[in-house]
Amino acid sequence: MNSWVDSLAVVENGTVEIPDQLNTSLRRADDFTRLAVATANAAIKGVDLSCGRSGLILGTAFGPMQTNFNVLDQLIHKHGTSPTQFTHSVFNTAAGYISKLFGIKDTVITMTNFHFPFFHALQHGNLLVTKGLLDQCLIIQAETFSNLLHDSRNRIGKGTIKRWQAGGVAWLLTRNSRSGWCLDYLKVKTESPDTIQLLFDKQNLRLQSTKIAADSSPLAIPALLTQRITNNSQTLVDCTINSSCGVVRMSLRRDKP
Amino acid sequence: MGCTCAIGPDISSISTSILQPQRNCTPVPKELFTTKLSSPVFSIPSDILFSRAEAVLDSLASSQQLPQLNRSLLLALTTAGEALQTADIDLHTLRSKRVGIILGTTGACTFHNERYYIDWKSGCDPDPEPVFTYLTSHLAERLGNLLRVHGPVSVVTNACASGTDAIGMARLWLLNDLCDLVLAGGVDELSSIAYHGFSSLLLTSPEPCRPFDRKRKGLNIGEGAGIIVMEREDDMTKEGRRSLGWIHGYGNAGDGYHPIAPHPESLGLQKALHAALAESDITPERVSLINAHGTGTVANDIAEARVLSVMPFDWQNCVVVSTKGLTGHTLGAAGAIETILTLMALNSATIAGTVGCTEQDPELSIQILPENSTSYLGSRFAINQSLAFGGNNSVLIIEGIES
Repeated sequence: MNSWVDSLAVVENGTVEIPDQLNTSLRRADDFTRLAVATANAAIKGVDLSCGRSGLILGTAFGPMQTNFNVLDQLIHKHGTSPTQFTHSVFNTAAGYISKLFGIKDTVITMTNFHFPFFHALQHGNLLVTKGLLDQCLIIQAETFSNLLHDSRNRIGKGTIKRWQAGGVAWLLTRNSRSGWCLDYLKVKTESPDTIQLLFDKQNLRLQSTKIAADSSPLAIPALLTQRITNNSQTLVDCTINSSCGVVRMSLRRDKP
Repeated sequence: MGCTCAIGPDISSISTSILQPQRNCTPVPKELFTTKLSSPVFSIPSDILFSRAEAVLDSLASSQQLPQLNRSLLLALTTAGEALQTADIDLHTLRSKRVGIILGTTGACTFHNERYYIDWKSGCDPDPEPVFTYLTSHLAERLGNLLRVHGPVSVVTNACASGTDAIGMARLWLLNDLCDLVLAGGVDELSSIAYHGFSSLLLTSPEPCRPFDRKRKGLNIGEGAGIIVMEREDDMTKEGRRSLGWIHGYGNAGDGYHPIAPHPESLGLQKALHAALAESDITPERVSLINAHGTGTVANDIAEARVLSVMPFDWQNCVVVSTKGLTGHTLGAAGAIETILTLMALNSATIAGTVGCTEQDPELSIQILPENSTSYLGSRFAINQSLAFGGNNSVLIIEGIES
């Protein structure tokens, strides 16, 4: 059995749209949670995930990094730790919000990988759907980064480095296609260098015979791939992602109407 | 399997200590961090940790020096080393396989170097070495580098269920041939953020924790690591190695109720239990031991007991315990450490009572095995369950070997 990519979405931090009915629930949420919820909302597009067995795999490289620093600030300055801030510094709180707001009540997992976080999450979600453990699975990557990370990149890189932009990517995998792409093949191979190439490493996306360079942001390739697939009129997409950290190979076939 | 926690630095010492339990629960060691709060913790002596880690690095002929590895990595390294030794797998054999590494944690994925952060924020332009350390300290990737193995790697950050989830996900990797062998488990060091964070939520106890006890006042934070070597049984048999047990089923379900509080009826835990049992093909009546999450907080213990009471376990022959009275709540490591403690109990057909529980809460609708008692286990099947922030619930069905 294969899984189907029924819906795809990319959210850039500057365009985060939270529907009014969700705003109340998010009034105490941090930026990372709000971004993750907005990304989920963009991909779900009114699909009722409370029907059938629905799961969520959230992959992230840096998680709620700035929120974690907000808690650290409180500790250092002995202001007393805010329970709300601490709660939101926990990596899987965003997934908890999404689970609650969209009725996802089966597998809910948050995974952290510096390299290919979206594709590791996709790999696991794909297993759950193809093995019949879930009927649908929402795959999300969200990143808000932090000023410390940006500054570190500048200092280590000894120059003006293009700032990584916050954002999110989401794919909805299902067992039965509605109108999407069949995920025929996915292999993720990570070979982590013992260096900090992660901060600056250019990545390459090869779609069919076209090679597209992307910057080092852990969101860059998933966002680029999502945009290319969304606008792709072909029925077959073979892609390879290369970085110094490893390789991802994927093959998608469009379901004919 | 390998395990390091407040009970002992390795499986051998843990198996000796656990039947004559002594709680290693102390104020926060000053070497780790300072605090004005008084909730005790369950920590591991640093000198023992460092010497064991050094021995493992020597055996790997690694060029790495101890100061280059943070505390979580040291915990992971010593525990993985013990697990491989117990499994009788030498490095040559290990490196000939596709080796997956999946570890749960809550704190090891964060940047928490206070000194660097203070200096950076005040504009002092500090040496960026701590940033390098953070970026090269992904638990699973770095452990893979140190062991010089290749295969799928991931860190599960599902809060207090992370260790349980990592083992469940490893099972899926093996069943679907993503790798030949997996180092699966959980690791967490004592963290100032977690310690103060749980205190801010009024969840910590000012005294040693008392899971399920009528006088319980909350949890104590602990640190540790638990790692098991998982393989497909056929592969082990071909290489002439014996198993110490089996993971038959895994269930994970969300409450979908609240960002931190459990559902009052723990609907997610019910779902996870049913899913794990269904996958395992083990009926509830065959389960002789349930290692509950049992943190010692009022809400958790009541909610867990309520769910268990409506499940069709054979309560004449099934025992419920919590081991957190001996380990503290080791957060991302808890599920893995407790899986190992559960397996050790199954393999000795004996479980010790819940340390800290002298008189159980009369509101609980199930019987807890109390402190200073032991019970014979009539079957080889057990459940380990973990509940987490975000409403996560994870369950493993475990089988031991005949003792």
